[in-house]
Amino acid sequence: MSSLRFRILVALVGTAFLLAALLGFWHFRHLRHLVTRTFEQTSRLFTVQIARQALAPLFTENREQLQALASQALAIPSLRSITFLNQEDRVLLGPPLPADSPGPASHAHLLERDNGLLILEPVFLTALLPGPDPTAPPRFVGRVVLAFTLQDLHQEVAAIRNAVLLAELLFAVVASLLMLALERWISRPLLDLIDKIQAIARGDLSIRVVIPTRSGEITTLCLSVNQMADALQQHTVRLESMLDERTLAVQKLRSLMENMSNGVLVCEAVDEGADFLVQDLNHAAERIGHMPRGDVLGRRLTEALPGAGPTGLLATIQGVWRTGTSEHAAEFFYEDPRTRAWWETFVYRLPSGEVVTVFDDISGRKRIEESWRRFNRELDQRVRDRTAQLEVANRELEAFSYSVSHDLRAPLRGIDGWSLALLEDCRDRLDDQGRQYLDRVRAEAQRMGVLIDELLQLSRVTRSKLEPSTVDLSETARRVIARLQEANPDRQMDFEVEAGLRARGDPLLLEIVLTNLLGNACKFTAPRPRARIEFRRGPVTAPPPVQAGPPDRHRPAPATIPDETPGPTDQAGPPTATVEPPGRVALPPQAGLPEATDASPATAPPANPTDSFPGPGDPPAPVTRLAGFFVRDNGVGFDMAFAGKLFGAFQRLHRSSEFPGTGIGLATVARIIHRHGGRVWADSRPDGGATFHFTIEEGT
Amino acid sequence: MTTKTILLIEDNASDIELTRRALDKSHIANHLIVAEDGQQALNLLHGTADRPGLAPDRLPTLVLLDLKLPRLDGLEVLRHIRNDPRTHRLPVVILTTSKEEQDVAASYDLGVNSYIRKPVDFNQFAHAIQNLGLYWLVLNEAPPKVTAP
Repeated sequence: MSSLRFRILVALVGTAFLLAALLGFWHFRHLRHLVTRTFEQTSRLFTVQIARQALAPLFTENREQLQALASQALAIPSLRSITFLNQEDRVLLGPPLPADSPGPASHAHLLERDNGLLILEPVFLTALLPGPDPTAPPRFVGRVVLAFTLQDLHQEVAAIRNAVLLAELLFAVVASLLMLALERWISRPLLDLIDKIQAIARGDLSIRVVIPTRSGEITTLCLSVNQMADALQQHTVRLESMLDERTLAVQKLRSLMENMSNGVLVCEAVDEGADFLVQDLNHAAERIGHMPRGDVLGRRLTEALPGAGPTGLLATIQGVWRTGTSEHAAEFFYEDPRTRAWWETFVYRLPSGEVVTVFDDISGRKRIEESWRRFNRELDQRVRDRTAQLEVANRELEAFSYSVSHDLRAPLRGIDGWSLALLEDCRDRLDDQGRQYLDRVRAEAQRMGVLIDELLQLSRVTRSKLEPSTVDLSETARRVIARLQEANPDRQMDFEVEAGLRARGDPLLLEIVLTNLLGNACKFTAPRPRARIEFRRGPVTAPPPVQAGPPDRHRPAPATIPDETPGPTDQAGPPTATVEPPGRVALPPQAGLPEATDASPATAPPANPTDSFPGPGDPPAPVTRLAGFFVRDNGVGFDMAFAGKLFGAFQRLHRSSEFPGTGIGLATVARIIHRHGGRVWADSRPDGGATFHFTIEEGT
Repeated sequence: MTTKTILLIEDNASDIELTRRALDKSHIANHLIVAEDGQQALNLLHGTADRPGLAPDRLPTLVLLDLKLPRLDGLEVLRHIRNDPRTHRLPVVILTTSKEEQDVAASYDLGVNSYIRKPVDFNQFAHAIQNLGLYWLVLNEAPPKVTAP
């Protein structure tokens, strides 16, 4: 900056001085010339005048007059001497001429000698008097030589020179000052501009140049600089925002990479792919590979992961580097002196040529898998054990049923048979009362036979294998109804069966369900002059339990639901929670917990969880769409307070004298429905008819 | 064909007597032979080391077989009867308390001729026995006698 200014200043001042010097020189020369010429002319004129005055004396060679003339003339300060020469060129008066001075001539001579001026003026007679022949040459009468000193002239010139020098110096100084001012006027905006541009160049793009008020190139320049700064700033802002975005993106990627649970190792090939240099790795890679970032960055892969070679990882990476085909190894055993672990690796090549190894320590997973497998094996074993136990228990149960079937019925037949024999063979020895008693004995025996039969059927329902298919329930119901009408030809019964009811289940068991439900409906509508029985599609979910009225002291003890079947679970120690088919958890009934059945008398299905034990060989209850159905009658109904006992075996809500029955039908229904993964519940009120709902997998 | 006999294989004394009583009522009591267990029945039919089995013309016309028997159960007895060429055409009726499906199926698989479940009600039982006797002893055409090898 200063150098520019300095140069401008030097240039300006130098120019001023040079100009002044040139001007001074020129002025001086001019003035000197003028002064010298004036001096010479004046000297000539003076000499001519002297010569005229000296004509006569010369002609006469009157030395006094010449002396007087000389004295008079010598009053002039710069006149050093006067010499008069006669026509023979002899000195009449005055100092002699210098030796080299020219001889007489028709014209004057000017000689500069010894810092003086020598003027030799010839004097002619014609000059004074015109002769009779104007053409005749004038007559030479002598010469006047005046020697002027140039001392004064030189002093004069020196004074002039000094004056000029002074003037020019003054001019130069003034000019310099003017230049200085001019420089400031010109260079300040420029310097300011330079300052600002330098500031801008240093990166401060907020700086703007002050625009000078006068228009001109500087203004244009300033405007341009400002525009440039604006453009630069915009550009910079754009660049910065782009850079920010890029930085954010890079940070995001880095963060992603660093926070991955998988190790990431980026390598570039060296030695034609013989080895690789570690370019980058994330935290997980440091952790899994036991290789601190600082130790392995830039190192060879075989040094960073010494086990890479022996375990084949290096070969995989080399292969991927060569072919570009990524490789995934679900299980890869890595081992080196620091670590040994199961890894999952994924190796791929970047478009830029680096090979990326993504790896994860799956040792934990392997351990879990191993323990899971072990657990599964144990579970399998346990299931097999349990199945075996169940099979044993089942065989025992079958043996028991078989025994019941055979051994309990045989004595009944004996009781009945021999009672009859007594009646027939000893009739005359028995009175009416005795015969009545024997009839009673026979009736009870026969009733027990029926009970045993039904119990066996209930047991069979539990144990038999389910063979599900799509069942046309409407058709099944119509078959059952036909049998019921045949069995009760005297009854007035209106049956309404919705058409097209389909369900998926075991056809035989579902027929048993409908036989029981429709049979019950038929039985309990007996007092009605006209029974009305419907079988329709119904809701899939049971209504919430209705709070029963105050406890009824006449109610039978609720905790005495007998185990209809001594199933394996009943024998296997303490009762455990079982998952009901629809996903509800229910506890098996426990002695001493009467509330289990008492508290929710209206929730029929969960109230008898004993019925929910699946039979052996049943498929697991599938998660399927359930369809709801109901059988409704206009019969005598029942008190919902007792609904909890409804589906238990041998539970009856009516006296045998009113409605015959064994109390096993609904238990059978509940078992069949539960085995099919459905639910069953009832809704009724005394003398208000009853509705029995059940759900079962929808038939296709 | 003067002596049409029925072999009753049954261990329950009460049932034996009730069966006999039912047959009595149908007037066919004099034809009843009783074996009280399966082995005894087979010994009777097929003989033992000491004693030969029944001659072909002395074989019973009908075997009433209970399933639940001591020593050798009814299904085993049936299997032996069917496996022996001397008796494999012999009409055998299972007369039992069980109506377990597996028993019924196994019996028919082994070639039983009929399967009757004894009702508890004696009147029904007597009726069944009477029908049985009438059917198998009177109506049914007996299989041709197998000549002893």
